[in-house]
Amino acid sequence: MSRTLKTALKPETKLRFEMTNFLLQNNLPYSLADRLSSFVKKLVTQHTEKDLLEYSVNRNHVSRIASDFIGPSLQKDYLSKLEASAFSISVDEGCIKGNTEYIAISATFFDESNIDVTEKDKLCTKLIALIELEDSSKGETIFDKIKKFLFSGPAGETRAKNCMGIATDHATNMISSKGAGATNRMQKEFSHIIVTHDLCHALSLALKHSIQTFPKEIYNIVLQISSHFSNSPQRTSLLKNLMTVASNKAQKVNSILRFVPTRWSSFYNCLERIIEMKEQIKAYFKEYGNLDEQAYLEEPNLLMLRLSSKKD
Amino acid sequence: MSILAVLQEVKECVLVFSNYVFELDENKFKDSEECFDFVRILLLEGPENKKFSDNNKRKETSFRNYLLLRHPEFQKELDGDSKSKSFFGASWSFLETVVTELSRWLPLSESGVMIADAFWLKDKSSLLKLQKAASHFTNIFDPHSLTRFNHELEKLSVNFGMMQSLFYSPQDKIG
Repeated sequence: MSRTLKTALKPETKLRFEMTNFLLQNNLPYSLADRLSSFVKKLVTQHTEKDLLEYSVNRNHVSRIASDFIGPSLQKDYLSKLEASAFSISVDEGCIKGNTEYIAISATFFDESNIDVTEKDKLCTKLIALIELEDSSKGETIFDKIKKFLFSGPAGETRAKNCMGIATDHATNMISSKGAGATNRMQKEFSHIIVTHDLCHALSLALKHSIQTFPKEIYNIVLQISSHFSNSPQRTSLLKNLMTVASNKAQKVNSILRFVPTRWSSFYNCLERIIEMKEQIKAYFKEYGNLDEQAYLEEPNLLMLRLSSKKD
Repeated sequence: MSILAVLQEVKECVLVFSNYVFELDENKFKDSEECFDFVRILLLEGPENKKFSDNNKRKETSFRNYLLLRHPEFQKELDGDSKSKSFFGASWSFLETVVTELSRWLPLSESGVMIADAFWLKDKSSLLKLQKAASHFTNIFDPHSLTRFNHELEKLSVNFGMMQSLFYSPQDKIG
């Protein structure tokens, strides 16, 4: 910013620039601007200048305040809401930093205390616990942990009465045909609880197994074209150059989308993009590819790719 | 998204894929719910059911016709092409697997999930489903309130049935 401009700016505009600069420098979302302004105003009106100048906060403070104060307070609040409303939970096992196993418990309940919303919007889902599994992830251990967390203590009985159902993935320590899973044990002790497989996990598993029968040659071509470009900025640049020349710089220049096998929807998106850019990719491989690569988008492969994508 | 909306999406997903694999005469069914109930039977496991399921599967020509009906843009691509046989073969294999895997993994037979659509009170089975749900939830209904609930449900069915008679034929209405 030039010196002349700096001196000419009004204080309000200067503040706007500083706030924008702060958001940009810290990769914060632009949508935070409104709330940040209100927060700064609140700080200035509620605290003295001396307090504001003397105060400091670092990441350790934030971490401790979140885990020791705000977290438990929110958890206590949610647990009390589960005493006042019927609810269901979803339980999933996960891993943090590759070695610590946790179970995450989310609850869906009616938040009757929220009087500003319609009846429909009172239904909410919150993450209520992240419990470390320590040395065992057996069904029995998970059951004990859930029971201790939700259904013990003075209000445990009320929460057990309010709990209507549990959804989990298909892991045998969660739902087992032999009755040893955490939810089987839960149902044994609280017979009214309905146990069900989680629909998102179920759909994901169905598609993961179905894709095995998808024609391998099409699958491999998509995988190879995607890998060819995603691992090399130089190749992407060469392709873009070809496209810019071909489109007379008038059209938007796309790039090949990354295909990640663990994200099954990325296959379709990548295939669509390949079909969309087939002429440019063909030209690229003709110029820079080997014989196998040149055959990727020739018939009969191209026909199968086009039919698989439905796009032309 | 409510469980009712989720359930509708799941049912639609199953029906879309099942239509490719099974001969489902849509005129035979009152609505997509009834069609879904039929598909659910087709997808049940067991040797007895496998025969029934196989008998309802599309034959090769029927599958080709249905696929081209749903995706007429393929027609031009496949006309006279030697690759068409392998295309239809691969498509059949993929779609048949999708249907098998959906029935394997989705909780289609779990009453806890499937009971949700009883709240639409679409037919007589809805009442039975609600009564069954009420007797399951012993945390909510003690024996006395269960009797009262069932009584209220009966009254609702009569009133609701009268309203429905304005729109549905006698065999379809709830009461």
